Amino acid sequence: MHTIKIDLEKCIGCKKCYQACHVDVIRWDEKSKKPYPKYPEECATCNWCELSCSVKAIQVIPGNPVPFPEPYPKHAYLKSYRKE
Amino acid sequence: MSNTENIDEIVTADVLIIGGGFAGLVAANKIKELNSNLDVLIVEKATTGHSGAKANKGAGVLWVLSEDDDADKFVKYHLDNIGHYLNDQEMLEKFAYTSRDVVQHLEKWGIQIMREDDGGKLARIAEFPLWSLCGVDLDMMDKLRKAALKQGVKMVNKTQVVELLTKDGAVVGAVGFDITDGSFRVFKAKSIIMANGSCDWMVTNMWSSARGDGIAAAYRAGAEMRNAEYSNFYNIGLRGNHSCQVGAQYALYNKDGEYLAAKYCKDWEPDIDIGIILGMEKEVMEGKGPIVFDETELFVQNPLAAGGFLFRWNRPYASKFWLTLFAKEEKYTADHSWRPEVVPNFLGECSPIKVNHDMKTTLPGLWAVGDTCYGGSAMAGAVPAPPGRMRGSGLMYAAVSSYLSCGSVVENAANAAEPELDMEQVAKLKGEIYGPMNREKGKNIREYIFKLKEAVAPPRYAARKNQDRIEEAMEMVKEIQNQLPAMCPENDWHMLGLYHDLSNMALCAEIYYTAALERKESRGWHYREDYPERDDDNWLKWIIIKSNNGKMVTSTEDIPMGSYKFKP
Repeated sequence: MHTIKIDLEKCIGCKKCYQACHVDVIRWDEKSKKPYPKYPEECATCNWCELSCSVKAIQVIPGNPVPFPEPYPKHAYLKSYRKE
Repeated sequence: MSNTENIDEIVTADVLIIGGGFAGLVAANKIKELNSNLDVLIVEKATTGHSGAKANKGAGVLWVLSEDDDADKFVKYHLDNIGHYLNDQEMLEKFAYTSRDVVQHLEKWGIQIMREDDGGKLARIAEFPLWSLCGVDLDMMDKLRKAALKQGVKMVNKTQVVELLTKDGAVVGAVGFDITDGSFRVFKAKSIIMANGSCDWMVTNMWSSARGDGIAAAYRAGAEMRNAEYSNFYNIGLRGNHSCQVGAQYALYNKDGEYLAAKYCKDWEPDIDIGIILGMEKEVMEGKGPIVFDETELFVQNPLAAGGFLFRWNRPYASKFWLTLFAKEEKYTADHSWRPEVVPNFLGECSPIKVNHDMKTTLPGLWAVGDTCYGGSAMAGAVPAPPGRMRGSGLMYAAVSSYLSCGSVVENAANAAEPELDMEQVAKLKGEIYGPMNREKGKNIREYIFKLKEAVAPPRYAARKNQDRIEEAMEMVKEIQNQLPAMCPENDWHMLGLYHDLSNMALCAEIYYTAALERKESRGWHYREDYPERDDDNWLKWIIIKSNNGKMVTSTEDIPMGSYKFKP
């Protein structure tokens, strides 16, 4: 899974990362007036939250490998090309 | 009797635009220019000006038929090489000519489009002889959002529209919920524009916000779909991080060191074609995998090589975006081996809402623009769109379609009577939208989203089709649909959103495979092993799919070839 790190000491609470996220990964905490990465499962690693941050308080670390449906499902092919 | 007591405030506008990405913002700005008295409201699942799957996450390239380009030559080339005569030729020509006006209009709204050093001609990539590919910076939506706010466009964000409201066969509103606190939202408008994107089934990371919300809602409301069988776009991606290597088809080798382009690609192609995807899969089936990629050869013969044009112009936002992306790949996810393995990387691009040349859908009161209807406009023909094998045409189609919709949208909004909502329908839909929240436990929604990806993405279902495999994939889709009542959103609004996304994506898959089963020939990106030839005698037809009282009904419509300029 991808990781979104937010340095709350640096964060100035401008909400730009919350607004930049197009897939609802980042939510806004009304009590602390700070963002938090609530749903990293849906992160598309577009990095716009990080790029929007003027104080470099947020960082997206892409996971590897990303979960992806196998293009050549083994059950479907006579010869499996990967030797495992 | 349904309970309507808990229906919250009804938000009324003259024009409701569902989706605040590039297409929705172009429409909003243009409508206000045509009639500043109209109330224009954008409702957006994320935040207007930051949303959408591609506009601010792509290469920043804009397709234009410049003054130097010949429209007839372009249309003929498209018919012979891309659309394979499944195009609406008049729409294709209209798109090409309108692109010229749109460029000037975008510049008027402050969007910088790259021109030659003297500021005159549009700067273009020379290897595209029939059209221009221009650079544009990735802050374009921000500029459009600011222009829209200045013109008085209203915006409701973080709100997921789930269903359209109808009265006497016309679309009169929409309902959805606030994804942050679950509040129910009811909208009423005279003209409604669907501008919330294609369905890409959340397979490839960057495209994952395109979940077919609008397509599914329009279908359920009774709108017709067209060319849905062309929903199977691929590029070539690295196994592991699945980053797309645009242009890599000319740099692939099999296990024995054979160069694949010589077998599966033409000498020159405007963009990736299905041949190389079928070829990659064939090689693997024959035990000649893995397929590897030699990056050093990427730029040979290849107008679209990744990176080849990204940094040609000084674009502060695009540079920041791409350099950050590349740096992260380099540090965290890149396969640093010499000749890394690549696989067919499914993108999808299901965009089938049927529209006419004014972007009217088949339902009164409803228009569709942008990625919801690039395929359904039939402009692209036998190819998934965007980009429809024309890079930069997704962005331009979003702008052109929005531009073309505005005349009739404004006329209707200015003259139509105030619509009435059917409050029984509102209450019923409210119950259906929130119904899953009553489940205390159940199956995991994300697991089933992954199962759906497995039913649409492998080339054996999406590229190399035959009746058995389409039916096998359809069975997987139906099984997911059957399990929907057993899924639980865990008392969480984000998860309720994902639940509806899954339901919508499964419906889009059903529409797509139904059309694919129907087309018994091979044409462009629709390849059927059991019908390998193009059949102009029987299949110069569009496949139309619609819901008739909840039942999926398929029909065909003859392409009006007699009235078109070019014949096959």
